[in-house]
Amino acid sequence: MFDIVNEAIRNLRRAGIKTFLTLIGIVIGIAAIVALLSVGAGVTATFETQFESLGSNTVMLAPGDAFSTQSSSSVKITDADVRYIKSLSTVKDVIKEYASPIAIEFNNQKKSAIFFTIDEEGFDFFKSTDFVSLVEGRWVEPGEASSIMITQGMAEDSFDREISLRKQLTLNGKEYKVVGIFKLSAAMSALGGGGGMVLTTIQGYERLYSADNPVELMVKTTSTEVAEKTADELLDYFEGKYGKKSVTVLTMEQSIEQVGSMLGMLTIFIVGIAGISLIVGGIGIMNAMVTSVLERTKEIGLYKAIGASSRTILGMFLLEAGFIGLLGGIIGIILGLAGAQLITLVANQFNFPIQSVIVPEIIIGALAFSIIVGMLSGFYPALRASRLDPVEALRYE
Amino acid sequence: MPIDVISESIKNLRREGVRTFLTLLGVVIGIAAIVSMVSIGAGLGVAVEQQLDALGAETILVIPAGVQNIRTELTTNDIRNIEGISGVDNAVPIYSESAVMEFNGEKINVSISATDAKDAEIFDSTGYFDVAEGRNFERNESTAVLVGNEIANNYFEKKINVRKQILINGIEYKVIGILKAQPAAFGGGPDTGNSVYMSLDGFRRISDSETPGIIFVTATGKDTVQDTADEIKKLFEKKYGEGSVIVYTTDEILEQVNLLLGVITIFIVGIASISLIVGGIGIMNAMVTSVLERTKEIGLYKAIGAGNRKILAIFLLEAGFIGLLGGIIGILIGFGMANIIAIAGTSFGYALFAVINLEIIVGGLAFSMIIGMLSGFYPALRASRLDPVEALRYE
Repeated sequence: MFDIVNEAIRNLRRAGIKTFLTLIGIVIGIAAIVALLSVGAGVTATFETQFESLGSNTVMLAPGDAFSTQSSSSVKITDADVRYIKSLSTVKDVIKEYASPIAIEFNNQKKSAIFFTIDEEGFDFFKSTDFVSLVEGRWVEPGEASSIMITQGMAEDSFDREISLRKQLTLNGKEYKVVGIFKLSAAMSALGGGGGMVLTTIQGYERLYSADNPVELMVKTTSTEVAEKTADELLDYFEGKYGKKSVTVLTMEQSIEQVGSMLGMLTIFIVGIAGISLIVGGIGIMNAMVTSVLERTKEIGLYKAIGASSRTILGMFLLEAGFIGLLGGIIGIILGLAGAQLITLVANQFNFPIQSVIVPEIIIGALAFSIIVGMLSGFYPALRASRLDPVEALRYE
Repeated sequence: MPIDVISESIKNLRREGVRTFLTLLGVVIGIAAIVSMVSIGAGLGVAVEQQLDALGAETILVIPAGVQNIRTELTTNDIRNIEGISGVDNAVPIYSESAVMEFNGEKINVSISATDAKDAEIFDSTGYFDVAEGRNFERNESTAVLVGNEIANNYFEKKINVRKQILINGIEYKVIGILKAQPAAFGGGPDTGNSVYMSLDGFRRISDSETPGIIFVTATGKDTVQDTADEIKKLFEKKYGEGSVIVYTTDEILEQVNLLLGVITIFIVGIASISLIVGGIGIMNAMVTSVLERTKEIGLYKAIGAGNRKILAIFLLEAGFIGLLGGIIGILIGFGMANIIAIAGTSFGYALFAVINLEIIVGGLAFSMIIGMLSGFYPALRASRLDPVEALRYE
C-alpha cells in the first residue's frame, strides 16, 4: 500500500506543469465555493445574533405578510387588541412600535423619511438589542418632546450638507433637535429600513401623529417555553378577528428559521452556479489522467509483467487523481477563506455590515468533495489503465 | 491565413480524440452556463417590456413610497393638483384597503382595490382586468366584485366560482368574474391575482378611505410625457419631501428594471464565468501536452523551413478552434437549457422565456475564441521557440 502512495506522488511531480494546471482548475472551483459558502454562513450568523438579542421569549407581531412584497395589509392594531394580548397569562409585557412617513426640512431641502418611536416602557429594551447602535451623541430620553436621533446614512448623505449633532430639523413643520446619530443592523435594513429613519420619544411622536395604531408589537412572554404557544394564540385571535393572512406572528426562533431558509436558498443557487466550475475542473483531471495513462502505457505493461494486478494499477491511478483533488481542495480552501475575507472587507466599505465565518463543516465538506471529484474523474482513466493487456502495453510505442 | 496551417490544426485535433473531446467539454459547459443565464435575463427584460407596452407610453405611475404599510398618504387634493398640470390628460386613482373576506365560513384578509367605473377604461388596453370566467363590470354596480385568480383558486379551502355570494367586512357582494392569471414578472403591472376589485360605489359600502394607492396618470402626448412626469415629481417633492412619492413613466420603469436585471445578470454571469476560466486552463493543459508530444514534429517543421511565427500560428489556431467549437456547441446547449428553465419557470407562474439574439451569439463566440487563444498562447509560444536541433533529438 505504501509504495502505491509513493508511486502516485512521484508521478505527479514528474508531470510538473501539467499537474500544476490541473490543480489550478480544482483550486479555482473549490475556492469559489468555499468563499461563497463562508460569506453566506457569515451573513446568516449576523442575522442570528441580531435576532437573538431580542431574547428567546420575544414574539414579533406585525400587520400583513412581513415576508412578502405583494399587497401589504393595512390591518390596524388597536388598543383593544393590545389589551387582549396583555390579558393572556403567558404574556409579561407588550412593547409597541409606531411609525409614519415624514417630511424633513434642512438646509432649504425637503426629504421624505420614516419617523418612528417605541413606547416608554420598551425603550430601554429596544436600546439593548443589536438592531440599533449609537454612533455619535446620546440616546433620546423619555419625556423629551423635541429630541430626535437620525440614521448615519441620513446624516452623511441625504442632504447637500452633512447634519451634525445639535442641528435643528423641521419635521412636518415643527422643530426638532438632533441629539444622536444611530446605525441600523443588517437585519433591520434588510427587513425594510433602508432609507432614512428618524427615532424619537413617544412625546416627540405625538406632537405630529397620534399613537393609536402600532406598526409592530414585541410581545415578551413569561418564559421561552411558552413563546410558541403564545404565538399560536395571538395568530388565532387576529385571524378570527381580521381573517387569515392579516398578521405575521413569529417567535424569535421562527424569525431566525425564516431568514435562514431564505438566505440558504440564495446561497445554494449561487454556489450551484459556482459549482459548475468544479465539474469543469474534474473534467480537467480526467483529461490529465487520460494523457498520463497513454504516456505511461509501457510502464503499466512492465508493472503488470512483474506481477502487479489490475487492482493495484487501478488503485495507483485512482490515488493519483484523488491526490490532485485533495491538494486542489487544500489550496482552494485556503484561497477561498481569504477570498471570503476580501468580499466582507469590500462589502463593509460599501456599508454592508457582513462578516464571514470559518465553519468546520464547510472545510471538511470541501475536502471530501474535492477528493470525490478527483477520484470520480480519475475512475475512467484508471479503469482503462488497469485493463491494459500487459503484452500489448509493453509493445506500445 | 494559409490553408495548410488551418488544415494542419484540424488534423492535429482529430488525431487526439478523447483529449480534444474532454477539453471541448470544459469550454462547452462554461459557455452553456453563461449563455443560458444571459438568455433568461434578456427574456425577463422582454417580458417586462411587453407588459409596459400594454400600459402605453403616455402613462405615468405615481406610487406612494415607503415600506410595508408605512407609506406617504396621498389625498384627493393631490389628484386635483396632478390634473391641474398642463401636460396631464387625466389622473385615475386606485383606492385600496385591506378587508376581511368571508366565504364558505372561512375568513381571510385580502386587499380590495377600487376605481371609478368611468375611469376604468384606461386599463382596457392593458389586459390587467381581462376575465377568465364570468364578465367584467358593466355600470357602477355596487354589489359586484371581480376576484383575482389566486384568491379564487388558492386562498380558501373551496374554490370560488362566478355567481357565488361572498361577505366583505360582513357586507354581501356577488362574484361576477374571475380575473385571468397574469404572469408575475417583477417590475411591470399590479398584482391582480391577489386582489378583489370593485367599483367605487361598491367600495364606499365598506370604506370611506380617501387615500389613493397608485395613481395612473395619462399624459397628453408621448413627447412631453417625461416633462409632465418631472412636473408631478416636483409637485410631490415640494409637498411631502424628496423620496416621498415614486413617479415613473413606463420608459423609466423599463430603464430601472433593465438596470436591475443587468446588475443581477452580470453578477450571475460573473460566477458562471469561473467555469469558463477553468475550461480555459483545460485548453492550456491540453496544448502543453500536445506541444510536448509533438516536439519532434515541430523540430521537423522548423528544419524544413517553418518560421517561429508559423508554428505559433498553428498552435494558436488549434487553441482558438477548440474555443470556437466549444462556443458553438455551448451556445446551442445553453439556449436549450434556457428554454428548459423557462418552461419550468412558466409552470410555476413566472413569466420566463429564453431569448436568443445576435449579441448573445456573437458575444458567446467571441468570448470562447478569445478564451481559447489566450489559453493557447503560452503553449504556442513555447512551441514556436523550440530549438529545431534540440527538438529533433527529443525522445
